[in-house]
Amino acid sequence: MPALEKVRELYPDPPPAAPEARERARLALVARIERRGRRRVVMPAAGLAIAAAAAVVALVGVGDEARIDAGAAAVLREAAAKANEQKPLPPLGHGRVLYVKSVDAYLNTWADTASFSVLVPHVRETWHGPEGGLLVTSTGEPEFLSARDRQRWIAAGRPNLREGGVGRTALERQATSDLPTDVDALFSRLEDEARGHSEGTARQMFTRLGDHLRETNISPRQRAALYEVAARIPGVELIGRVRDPVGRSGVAVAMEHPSDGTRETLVIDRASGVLLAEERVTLRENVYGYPAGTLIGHSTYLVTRMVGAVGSRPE
Amino acid sequence: MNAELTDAVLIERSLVEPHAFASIFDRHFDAVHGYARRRLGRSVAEEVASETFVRAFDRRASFDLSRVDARPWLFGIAANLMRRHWRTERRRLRALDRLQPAGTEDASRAERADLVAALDALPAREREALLLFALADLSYEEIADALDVPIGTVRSRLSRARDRIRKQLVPEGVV
Repeated sequence: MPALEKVRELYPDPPPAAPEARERARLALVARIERRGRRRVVMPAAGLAIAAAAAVVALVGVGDEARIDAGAAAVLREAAAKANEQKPLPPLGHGRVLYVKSVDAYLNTWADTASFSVLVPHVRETWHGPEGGLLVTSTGEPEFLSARDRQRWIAAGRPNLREGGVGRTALERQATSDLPTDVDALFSRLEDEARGHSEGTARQMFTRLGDHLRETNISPRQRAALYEVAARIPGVELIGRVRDPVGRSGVAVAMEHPSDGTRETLVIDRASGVLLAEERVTLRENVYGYPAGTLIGHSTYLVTRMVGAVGSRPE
Repeated sequence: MNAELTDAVLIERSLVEPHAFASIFDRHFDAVHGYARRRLGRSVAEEVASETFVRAFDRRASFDLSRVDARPWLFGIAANLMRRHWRTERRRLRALDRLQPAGTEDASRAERADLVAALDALPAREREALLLFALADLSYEEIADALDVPIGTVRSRLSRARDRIRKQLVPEGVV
């Protein structure tokens, strides 16, 4: 008997994966997607103004060759100054757990049957303690972006769109951020990480910068340095004063992504430099096939506070 | 499954819509889990299969979008994770051998023991190529993708692995 056949005989055929094992693995993946894959941006009610702006902006090549927007740079440096004035949160420890609550919705594409896309709102609550944490999610009413999407969902047998985003997931201990507070060093680090990305270094730097701002336990000085870096990234543009979905006033800066035809916007609190919200809207030419100005993703950060224990909520 | 959407399209889309990556899980979990379970048994296989998709999600920006099928890439990640479990795998194979039904000929038992010993003696990279070929049914080209080595290297590794096993199993002078 050939050697390969003998090897195959040595290893017995496995039974199929148990449904509960499959579900555990899927939940682990979804938890990671929720924690680390967040590239969506939030779009507010005030976002209507931003969407309108996006609607009239042609899909131009804002790339590494783009210029620094002086208005955006000034606003970001102001945000950096405000961030520097803030007191740092106490370090995580016994009785000191970081609690963050946010609401978001982002485009979810179902590809198992007739392909359709839908925005499913999620309420996310995370606790990060010294020895680990917890993520609790719940979902709201799904919102279809077009009648065609809704029809395809019906044709697919109306699969439950809300069950995937609900649950409780234990989180690993979040390492203390090692981002440098020296602006040159931070710029170099982000640039090194972003270099070679297909959409261009500048755009990828902006995306990575957003990753560091959301749901992370960075210090005010690190946040300030991130804004100083953003002020130096070509292609970051000023949107102006906006209100986030819950009515808080902020200032918005954005980056266009020609690779998929979207605009990524960050809404920053002018008083504290804290990230209030994010959004992603389509530009005139986009890969999703939706009209310009369509909101395809948004997050609003409602509460960031220290609480006494994992599972506790601020009063 | 929508045949219009390749794995590459879904992975590219997941860069801006992270949840699109869940479809990659839905398509390939059973295959990755099956391979891991065949080699490592239930509990470790669950851990490996789950970790494979989490790591794949983290590294999705590095996926070569010219590759339509993500399976070799996923098996490559799984293979890296399984490498550290070879001792578990070896113990499991020996345990399975002891569970052979009564009446199994001594010669057959001896041959299985020799085969386990032969696999154990293989360099890890040869063993990995051999098991991907024999158990995961990957082609040479897919194994090359999975292990990030040229096809020629896959051929030579498989050739060497087969040769070593053959020599281990066939009595001297019979080959």
